[in-house]
Amino acid sequence: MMKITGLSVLILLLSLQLKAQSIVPIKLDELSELSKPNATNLSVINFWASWCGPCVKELPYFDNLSKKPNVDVYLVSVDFIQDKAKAEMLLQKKNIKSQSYLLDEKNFVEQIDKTWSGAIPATLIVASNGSRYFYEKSFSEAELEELVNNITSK
Amino acid sequence: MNRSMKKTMLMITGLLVVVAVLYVNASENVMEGYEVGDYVSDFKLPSTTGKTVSLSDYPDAKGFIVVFTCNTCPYAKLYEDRVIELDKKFRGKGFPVIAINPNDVGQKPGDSMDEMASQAKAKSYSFPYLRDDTQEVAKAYGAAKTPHVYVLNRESAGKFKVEYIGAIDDSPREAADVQETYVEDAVNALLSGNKPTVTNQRAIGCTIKWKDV
Repeated sequence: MMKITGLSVLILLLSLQLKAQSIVPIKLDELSELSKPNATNLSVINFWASWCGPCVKELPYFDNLSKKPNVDVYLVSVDFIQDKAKAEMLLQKKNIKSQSYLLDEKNFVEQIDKTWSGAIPATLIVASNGSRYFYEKSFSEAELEELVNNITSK
Repeated sequence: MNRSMKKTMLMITGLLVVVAVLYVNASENVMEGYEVGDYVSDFKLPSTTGKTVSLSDYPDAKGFIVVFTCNTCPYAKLYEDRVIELDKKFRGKGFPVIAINPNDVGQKPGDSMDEMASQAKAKSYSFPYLRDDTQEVAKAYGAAKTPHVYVLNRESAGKFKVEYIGAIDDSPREAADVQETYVEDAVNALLSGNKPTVTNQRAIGCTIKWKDV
């Protein structure tokens, strides 16, 4: 009996391991695909890094947004590619399930938004009608929720 | 004043109000602060050595490398040695580094004047490390993050023009992998009497910790 329990715990652990959040490295052209307007859903693209305290704090808020029916959330890490595992561990620890990428590019700030200074956290929201909204700031969960509701109801 | 004149006046006033409102809204979207080509105002900020520092303290400077930086941002830390190198390389040529820490100490105790002084001492900074407690200098420059560099060039006595804004180079993590040295290139161009080819290069950094208004 003990053996079976031990085995199931092992299998459980293994399956958890397999389901661990993985971050897909992407380039700018793939990011621009992600930020194209989606016919039915609002796309929320959050730029963060594992070393950025305010970014990590708001990750769960973005993750919760992805539970909304008409919102797609993409978490784009701007960590160095060498730190991908560190970022993945952090997502796992915080139980973040949103689709996650790492932008493996050198110069990209201006291509993403002309008004972006490069400071993070930063968030790009693309509405179905093609409107783009860029925010170089951190959000409280309530602020983010209100913002998304406002944009969706436009 | 007859009726039609009144009407015209009213229309003009209305139009002016509309223009004013549009103008205010438009300027809200534009990032404040200096852009390349702007002349800077001098400042007076306290340094870790107990002195105050202004641009006018350097009568021989051909220009400056003004770096908004801090003790606490991982990106700023990655660039610390490279900022030290920039000063070593260009101070003698007339372009000294001036480092300014604008972070709110309430949010980042690690950026207090005392902590700045220990950092400057530990790394033997050859340049002044200034505290911008009111954050007015950072706002005037339009600095948004650390590190954020402004290369200034002297046009005439006491008149300094912004010639480059942005990143130090293109490889924050590994100094060995640097391919583009934006700040060095800008300063070298100015030293040889030319305009920098690249005048703006944005990179990732930590948001400046602004005081709550």
